[in-house]
Amino acid sequence: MPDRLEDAWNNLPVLAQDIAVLAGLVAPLVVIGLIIVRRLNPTPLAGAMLWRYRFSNALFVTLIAISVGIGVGLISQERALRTGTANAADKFDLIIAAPGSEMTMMLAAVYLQPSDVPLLDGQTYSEIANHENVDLAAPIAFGDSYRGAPVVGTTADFIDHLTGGLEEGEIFTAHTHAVSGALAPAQIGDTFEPAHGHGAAAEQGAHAGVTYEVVGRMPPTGSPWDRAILVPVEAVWDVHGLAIGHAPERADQIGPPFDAEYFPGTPAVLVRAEALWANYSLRSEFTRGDTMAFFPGAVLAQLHSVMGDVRQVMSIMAIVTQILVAASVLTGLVILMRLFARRLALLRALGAPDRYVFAVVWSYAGALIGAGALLGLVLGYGAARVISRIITQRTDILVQASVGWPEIHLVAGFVAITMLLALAPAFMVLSRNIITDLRA
Amino acid sequence: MNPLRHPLTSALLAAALLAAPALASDDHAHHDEDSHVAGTGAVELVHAWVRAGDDDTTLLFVEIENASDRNVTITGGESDIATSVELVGFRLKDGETVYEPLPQVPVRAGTTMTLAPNGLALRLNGVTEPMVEGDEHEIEIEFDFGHVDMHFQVEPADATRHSHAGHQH
Repeated sequence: MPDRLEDAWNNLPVLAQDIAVLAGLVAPLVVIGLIIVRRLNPTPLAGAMLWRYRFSNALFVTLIAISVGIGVGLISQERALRTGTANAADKFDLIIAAPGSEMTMMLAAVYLQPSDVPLLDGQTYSEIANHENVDLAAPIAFGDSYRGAPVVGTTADFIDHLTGGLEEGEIFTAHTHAVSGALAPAQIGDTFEPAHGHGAAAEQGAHAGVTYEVVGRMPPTGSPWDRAILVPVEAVWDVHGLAIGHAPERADQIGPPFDAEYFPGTPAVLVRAEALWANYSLRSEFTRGDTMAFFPGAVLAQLHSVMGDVRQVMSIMAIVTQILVAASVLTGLVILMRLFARRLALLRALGAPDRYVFAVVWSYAGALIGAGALLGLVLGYGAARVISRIITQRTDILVQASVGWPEIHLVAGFVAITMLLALAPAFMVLSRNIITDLRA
Repeated sequence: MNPLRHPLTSALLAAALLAAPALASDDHAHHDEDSHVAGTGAVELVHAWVRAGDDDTTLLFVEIENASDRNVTITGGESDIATSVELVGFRLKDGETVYEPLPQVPVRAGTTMTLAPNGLALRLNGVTEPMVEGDEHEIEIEFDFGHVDMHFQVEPADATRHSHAGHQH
């Protein structure tokens, strides 16, 4: 592509580019269609052909729909997964933790998949919290659960950052207070005793005598934090018999500042800086021997790049499938035309112009292909929605499938190619011997 | 013309801006024999690289070691093979990787800032020739104290770091 043309294309808004691609795919088809049916009305006869062999036609449409649906579903589902996981991590600008696996820490801190990780000490936390570029440094302490929901210790500022404000109730102001996620198994006013650990390994009764009361409820965030119950980080330390982050004379204090000497450690610190550049500076500064700083978004991008490779393979598979189906459609149309051979021969014998017969056959094929493609779009979208709902239920990550431009382009491309291929059986009908077909 | 490109202007700026003698003594780049290191002595740039490809833009990564006793600020760059060079930062937006322009980023005294994939980078816009693996090109990286000229190497299209990363220069 010449540079000037390429620059003009790159300067177009994304929406305009998508519309242009669609127009490029559909326009030749529209032009050919207009030429074929010009001053003709093939609809009644094509409709009659559709009705006469409706069950065969329905099967044909179903096969096309399933093929198109697989392609649409694959693309839509991959995008939904990518967007959902990214949105769930959106509030986690920078995580600082003890050196280890970024992936493990991201799964633990962002997606609340419990893991045994080393702790950051009070000196390090103070260094982070007091850094001139840091606007929020929230400890995230996990390890307990209630009815399968993680009980996470943190600060009120973190909840405000995560949600932008509670949906109902109020923030915790005492060691015994808790704020529940939108899908957590505890409502405002409920009291509960946390278990030590998670899942099957959770030790019920390990924290006997400890009771939290839910005083607030967060709005949905579309992340695993919706199922979590958040308590003051001081309470988590207290429950485990550790120092509570403050000197004895400030034992009732909830939230920062914390005293380094009484800070028992935290698996991770969520850090936020208002200035974008400051996050990079902080990551660089706290990537050192005793700390690990990373952007969950960057770790996700690495994961997505692996998914991207899989997506490419899937896309190739989808395209190969479409080509095979297009070839099958062509074969199927040839067979269908043999079914109609006698009727079409009669039509031609009665004096119908070749162009009219051609238009009838091509319109009939177009109806089958168009109906199959549209049904496939609906099927693919429906399948992606069902799968997304299951993933959301299992992971608490809000995965929402949608029909986007890539799917529309895929369907438009499929229709354009198969409709062009459908010209072949239409020509073949005209090349058949009328007498032979009438005697058949 | 960028005034920082002129050696005299650059030196005057550096002398005016820098209280630290270590930086003020030499704002011009020097290169070691294998061209993987450049800098002022107090601020050294190591292992600049880009990925092979023929795109209109490419991202340049480099390690910046600030051994001086003052903060320095990286502001951008210039190159003969690109119409512009700007500092950009990675973000994941709706699941898509984007690099947003940044005005400047400080490198604190005694620290190392690494420009790396999925982080900070210098974006070369309007690249005039394909980046061929193994080739080397020149770039001028601009700081608040002046500029540093250095070579950058073209690594494989799927590289995640400089092929000499980890070597001591």
